[in-house]
Amino acid sequence: MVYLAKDYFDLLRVDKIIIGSIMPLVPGVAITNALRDSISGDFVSGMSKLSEAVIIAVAIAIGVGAILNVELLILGGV
Amino acid sequence: MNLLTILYAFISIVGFAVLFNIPRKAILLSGIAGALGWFVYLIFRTSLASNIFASFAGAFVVGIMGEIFARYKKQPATIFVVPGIIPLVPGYGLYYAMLKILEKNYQEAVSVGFEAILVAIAIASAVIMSTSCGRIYKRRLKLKSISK
Repeated sequence: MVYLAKDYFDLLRVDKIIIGSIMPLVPGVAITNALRDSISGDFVSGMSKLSEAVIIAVAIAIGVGAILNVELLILGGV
Repeated sequence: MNLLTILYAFISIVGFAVLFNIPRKAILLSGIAGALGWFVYLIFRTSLASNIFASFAGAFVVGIMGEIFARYKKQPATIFVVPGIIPLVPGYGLYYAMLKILEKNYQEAVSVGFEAILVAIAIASAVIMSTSCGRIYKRRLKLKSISK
């Protein structure tokens, strides 16, 4: 994930490009499915899916944020 | 209201349907269902200016169309609904909130993240409601066939 974000970030420095390229990884459907399971009464499945989705979201944000910070460190701020 | 985004939503849904290994005869129909849902979402978002209710209405239309197409194609409704709600789910909001947390911009993180969670709850309840609508219709059909 870090390498993916880094590739796209170094190619073109646009925030929207990162989001577009990261879209298949982002757990939007996973969170919706988790809440759907929780509403229909399958609490164990819903909670495990929700925690998985939150961990994936944190991992994606850490990957992108780390690369953004490295870039900031090297170039000394844009 | 940009009507060209409906076409973009259709293309993205078809792409995600291929990514999710949807059966081939259901791909185009799931794209149509999702494009209709996106159209309803656009109408409600521009007329009510409420992102959450617009997502609810769009996901409800996607669910109803999924039920109809499921009856028509004899496939489970989930394979039409899961790609169909792709343009509505708050993946961007979730990512943006996490990024704002890493940037220590907590106020924006909470506002964006809370709206993302509310949109997710709205979509989930809309899908549940459309599924129960399909179940009620099925039960009425069964009752009618028994009473005959």
